[in-house]
Amino acid sequence: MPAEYDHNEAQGLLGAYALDAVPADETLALERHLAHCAECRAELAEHREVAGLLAASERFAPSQVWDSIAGEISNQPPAAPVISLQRRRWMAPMAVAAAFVLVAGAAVVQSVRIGTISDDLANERQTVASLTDQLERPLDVAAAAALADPAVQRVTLGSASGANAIIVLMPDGTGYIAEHTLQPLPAERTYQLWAIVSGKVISAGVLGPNPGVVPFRIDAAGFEGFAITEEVVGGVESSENDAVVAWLAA
Amino acid sequence: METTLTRQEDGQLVHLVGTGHEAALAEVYRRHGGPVFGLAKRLLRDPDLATDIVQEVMLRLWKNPEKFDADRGSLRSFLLSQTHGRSVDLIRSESARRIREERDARLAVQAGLSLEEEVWEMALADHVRDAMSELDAGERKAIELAYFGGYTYREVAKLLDTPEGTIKSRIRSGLQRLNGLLAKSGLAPIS
Repeated sequence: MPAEYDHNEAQGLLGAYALDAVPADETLALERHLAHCAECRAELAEHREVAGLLAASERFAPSQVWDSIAGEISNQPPAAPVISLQRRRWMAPMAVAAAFVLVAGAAVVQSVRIGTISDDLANERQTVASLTDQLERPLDVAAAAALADPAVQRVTLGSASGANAIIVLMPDGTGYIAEHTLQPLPAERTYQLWAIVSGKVISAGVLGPNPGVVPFRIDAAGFEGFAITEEVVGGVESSENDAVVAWLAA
Repeated sequence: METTLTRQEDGQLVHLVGTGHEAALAEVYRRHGGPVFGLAKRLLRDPDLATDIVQEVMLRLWKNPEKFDADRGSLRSFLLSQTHGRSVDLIRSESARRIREERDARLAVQAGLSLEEEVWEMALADHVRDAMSELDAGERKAIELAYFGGYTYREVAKLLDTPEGTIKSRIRSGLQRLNGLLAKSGLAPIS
């Protein structure tokens, strides 16, 4: 078994792999090829979508299964990736965006959770109906309404190059990246939003390569800054990249 | 057809999951829990085990929402892929020997026939069934055994007494042809 399959070998296995039908002793060699072959990853994604249609057989989700899931997540809040700010490299205010360097060594990573998310999750529960309403209302409408609301906090992330992004923060901690001039990235790259809360740099969300109106959630009372970096697709736990745009509280 | 809008909604929904909205996870479950549970149940032949798998998949999304990338595919296919993978892991694990033996007892001798009947009668939506009917019989059986049976392509090759390379090719070409057939009816996930 080779350490890594060549392109032809890998292609031949993509259908089987999409159906989880590749034996374990071949999986690693295939996955090594997939890691750097966009063509194979694209074909695999197509096969998986087709497989997904094959499985679409039962329309309704059993409520008792959800009950057990809800019981579990009440005890397991989601793990927002949080990192400590080990070192900041500041430059002149004009270049604040380029200077927003996020560095976190593994030794200083702490399991601190972001703002209100760490609060009792039970207090944050919403009904499915209300969320559905929220989802059915286009986010850009919600963000536009927030932009026009004098009660919301509004910050503008800037850069030396002139790129910017406007963040609005609702009193309940919901935030939107309402407007931006960020350039679209290649498919294998993504923008990632970071917040500084109590001196810690926290990932506030992976935004995708061409963000639309993006919601996030944070303790609106405690933030000290925001930055957006460019990262590999999927985002990172900590970044050493310069910020594309950034804003710091005075 | 999977629309861009739906992909964006998936991404926004999962983003909300990542910010701690339990209701967002509930909405994910409402939208996709049926097929996810149905697939696990069909593979494992045990509602209790299927429940465990669905719970695991949903909790994984709750804890690691960043694993889903809306640019790479739909949330539905992501969840189904996770469910299929975990179910197959369970089927193939040593600890599931009893499950496998019971399952194989039902499937082994007449694997192709019994599975095909069930798939056609219960599992496939009409439009997918129509597309499947246009595949070569060899392609169709290979896909059914691998996906709904949870067999590796080597196991499928043995069950069908066919060379392994042929089975690999049939699965791939069958999926490609299905994609094309579903595209004609406006149902292809990716054009």
